[in-house]
Amino acid sequence: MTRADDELEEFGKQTLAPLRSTPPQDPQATSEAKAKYLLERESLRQVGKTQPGGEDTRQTNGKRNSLGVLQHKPVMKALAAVFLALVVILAGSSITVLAAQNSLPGQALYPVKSWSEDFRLSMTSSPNAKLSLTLYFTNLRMEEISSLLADGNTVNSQNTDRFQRELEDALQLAAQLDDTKMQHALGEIKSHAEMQGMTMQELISKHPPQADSAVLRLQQRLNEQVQLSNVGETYPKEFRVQVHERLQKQHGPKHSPDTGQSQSTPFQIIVTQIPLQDDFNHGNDMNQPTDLPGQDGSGNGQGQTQQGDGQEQTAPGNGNHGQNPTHTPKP
Amino acid sequence: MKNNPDQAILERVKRFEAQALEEIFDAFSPRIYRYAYRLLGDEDLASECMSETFSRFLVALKSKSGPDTYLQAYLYRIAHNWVTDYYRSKIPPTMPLDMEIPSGSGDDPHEWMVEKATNQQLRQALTLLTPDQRQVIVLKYLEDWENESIADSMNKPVGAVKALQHRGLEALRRILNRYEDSYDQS
Repeated sequence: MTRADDELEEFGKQTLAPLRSTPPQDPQATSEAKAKYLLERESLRQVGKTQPGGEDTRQTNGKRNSLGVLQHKPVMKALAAVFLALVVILAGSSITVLAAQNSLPGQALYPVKSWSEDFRLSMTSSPNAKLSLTLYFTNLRMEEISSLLADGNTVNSQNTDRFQRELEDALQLAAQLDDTKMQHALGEIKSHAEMQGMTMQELISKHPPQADSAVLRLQQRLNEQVQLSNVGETYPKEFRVQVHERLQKQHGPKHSPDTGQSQSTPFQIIVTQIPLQDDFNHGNDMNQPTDLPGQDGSGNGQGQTQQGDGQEQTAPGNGNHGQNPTHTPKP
Repeated sequence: MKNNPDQAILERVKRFEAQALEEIFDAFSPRIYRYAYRLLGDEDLASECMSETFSRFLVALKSKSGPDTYLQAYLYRIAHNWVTDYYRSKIPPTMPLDMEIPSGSGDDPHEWMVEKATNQQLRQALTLLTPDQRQVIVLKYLEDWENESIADSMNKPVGAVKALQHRGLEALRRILNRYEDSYDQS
């Protein structure tokens, strides 16, 4: 550990110390929460028990059922039917979209997932929010690639195209922000790209036969993302020029309103000349710890944690960039 | 492979055993509440987060997608997701002007207000970190977790946790310096 690391550690301890004290829990609120929890447990347990015989109960106790009461009122019955149909259609669409969230490239529901992501992006107006969402989506892409490789599939360029596009979009969105916000945004972009690069490196070493050229290209692209973010943090103007040129390359010169800045900048050369393959090695990164994942003596590498993943990733709509249980955060 | 200390109780909760579920609530609800309060700075919200965490836990168990290992880490992750959702959907709370100073909060109301404002500012700074950075920083410096446990709870390698910690602290320092600068200028 360097002196700077020690200082940073000390800063963390001292700065966060005031938040350590917490007021005692309100006993009444706790009792209520516990009662609710145990009640919920009971009702969930009952759901499992009653489901198989549920139909019989409805038939024998028709009068208890609200629809059974409506049988005597045809107009109400028709309205109820329309209402139910609407609920079924809406719920069906929502369920399809929800179900699609766990789909992988190449699966039938994957286009629904892509569409729902595009829709969420189109409904977001501020560049900052769009950037957060785009970065969140890049994490989803990373998880898809992990799942594909873990399932023994080969990842081809079709699977990585969307990821690459989102990386590009993140840079474009950051370039639209003012300098201060851009600095913060680039910090986030870099942090994401570094994490994804490290994960990618682990995946490549774990599944070398499936690591198609598309995966290697993506790894290089992630590294490039880190380099570009570094350029942007130091030279905002040049970064914008470079991002602009990348946009031109993507869409062709006719989309560029500014033809006077189409020359390559020195920063472009810096970025493309840096050797890319080994840069996610922690030892080469000033900001990374010296221990490689799984080599720090803790025995807690990706291989082990993935055992937990296997179970937990099956939870629908996992949060925290798709890795966490039970709910998906909506940035 | 590590031994799983939670295996016995997890087997029981998967069968929806009332006593096991109650034991889990009694053991973990104070910790989840504390974690939520430290991030949210509001007792009602912390209670809500705690209650919702256990509710989601039950739903996950019912759908057979609950934890197989590391129960504590799993519950903290649910709470973390709740807090992240909250931050994303709500404007961070500010201190109301007509805020009442509770009795027993020390002799100096001014000092109490300053402390409250500082803590609020710190929480606001934490909201500006990425969710992963925030989780690492809070678990490490407020909940005193070891890096290995944090890595388990986040399904990330220990190296990645260290990187997140480093970046998170740097970002936090930058944000707090910015607050200080703007305070000095005003």
